[in-house]
Amino acid sequence: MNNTILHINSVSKSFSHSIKKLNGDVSKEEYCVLDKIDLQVQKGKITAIIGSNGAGKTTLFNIVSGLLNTDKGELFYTPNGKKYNLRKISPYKLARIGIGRMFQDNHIFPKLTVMENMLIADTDPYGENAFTSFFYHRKKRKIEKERKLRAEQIFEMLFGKANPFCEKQEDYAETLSYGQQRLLGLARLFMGNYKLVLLDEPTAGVNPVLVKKIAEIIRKMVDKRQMTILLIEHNMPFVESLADLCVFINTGKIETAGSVVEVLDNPHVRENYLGKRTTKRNSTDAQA
Amino acid sequence: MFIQFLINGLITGSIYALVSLGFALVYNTTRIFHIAYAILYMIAPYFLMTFLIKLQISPILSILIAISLTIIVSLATELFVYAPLVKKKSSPNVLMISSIGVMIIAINLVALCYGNETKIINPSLSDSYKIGNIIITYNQIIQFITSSVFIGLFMVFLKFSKFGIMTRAMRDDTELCKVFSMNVPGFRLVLFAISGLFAAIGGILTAWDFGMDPYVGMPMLLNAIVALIIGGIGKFQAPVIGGLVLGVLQALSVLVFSANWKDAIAFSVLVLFLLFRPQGFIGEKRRLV
Repeated sequence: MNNTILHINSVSKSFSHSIKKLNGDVSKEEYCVLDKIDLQVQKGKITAIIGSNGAGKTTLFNIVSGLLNTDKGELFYTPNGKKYNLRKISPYKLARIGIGRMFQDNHIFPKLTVMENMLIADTDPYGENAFTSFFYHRKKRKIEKERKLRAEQIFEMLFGKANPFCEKQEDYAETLSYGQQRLLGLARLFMGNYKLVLLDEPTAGVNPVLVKKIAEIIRKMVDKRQMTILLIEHNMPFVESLADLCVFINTGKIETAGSVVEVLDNPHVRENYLGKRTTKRNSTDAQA
Repeated sequence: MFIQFLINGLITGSIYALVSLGFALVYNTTRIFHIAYAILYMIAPYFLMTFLIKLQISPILSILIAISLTIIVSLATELFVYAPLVKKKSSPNVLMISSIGVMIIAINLVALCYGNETKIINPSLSDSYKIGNIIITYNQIIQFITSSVFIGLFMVFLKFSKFGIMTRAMRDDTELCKVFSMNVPGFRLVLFAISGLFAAIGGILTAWDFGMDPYVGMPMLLNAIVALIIGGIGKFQAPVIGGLVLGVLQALSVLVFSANWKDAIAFSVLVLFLLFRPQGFIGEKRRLV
């Protein structure tokens, strides 16, 4: 219990869909997207969720981040001894209690500058109120200066002294390359006080050099900020090199869970998702 | 003569800009085509008339009460019409039709309570300044200064405060806002309040000079929408530029043709922009592929 940060207990989710037949009759069909999912996410570990498209991985993320309600089941978040029932908390409050998320596609605000993208991720609500931010001007300026400095320090910590993000901090985020936008999306998660971060395919559409950089940043999230990472990924070498634990979801059910090697070598996972290995696993593969 | 019309146009344009900014604030962030915005512009002077003329309360206090009540009407539209529909995941068309429904109900209620005829709040003729051949009335000066101050303050606020960053973030992606600790339903209320404030100020400034009837909202809303489109949808500076351009064009059309051509000119400009520059003055071209 103490070592678990997220408890997903028997979570189920179905969607209904109306189908109009040729004779004009309309029938309603139910699709079970998640079927009694049980998952205990370990604190300070990187847990990868793998599975084919439509398996229910992103739906599970949407439920954890409050964007979808569950039909059945419970979700508890226990960061520092406190226990939060996630079904009773509004999505925007989740960030304030330490749950962060990066989407697969819409990971940045394109018409905000690079720096504004960082500033908005600060979970401290000071300055959000339209009417009170007219007042306490000196305090507000001090806080905004501190936020900006913190964002610059994060860029330096992740990308070195001379980095494109500090140089382009006043440019619109949409002017960055796709890969840089991904890096910005990850860097932004250092601005808040996040304990659990959900990453939806962080390496999708990114070149191999940036994949390495992304792995480095995620490692820093765990090592320097003691974040727990739950990530969805189709890039298996990336999962092998980074994750501590792995979960295989197939048609809405968790079919295998355990260490990365155990799951990726599982015959059932091979048969239903990864396919046969053409080369033998090298013992140093996992460390590469 | 030309300069006189140009100045008149800029003053009218400043009100268009303010009203259009209020509309854009809701449209850019929530994607609701807020037709009911027309009633906020119309109802504010009626509230003012009630407190100032019927209840004989001081002008400043009456204006403050009228603005506050208009903001409450704006909030009520969001709370009781849009928010429940958004919760049910209704389409933008459903929201727009509901908005038209709200507007029709409100116009009929006002017509029932106050009558259809034009009402005058300020019967006296405004004093004026004369510089050479150019005449500017006090009312016009108040209209221009008030609109400019509110637009200017809002722009500064939008650029430099966290509230401003959040408003622009809402324009970009509401879902992403939710995962970054933003209380989107609460924030929408603030935006509707500010939008109501701008409509109320625009309505009162115009009605103080020209009077009002229950149908003044729709023509102004159309001008606000034209201003938004020719400025460039999606940008908060766009309605300001569009409003000023529209005001000047309408004023010059009076100089060249006659006052009856004002609306024809506005919509001709709209059609030309939609055909040849759909992104407006400062909008960006959308990638087709």
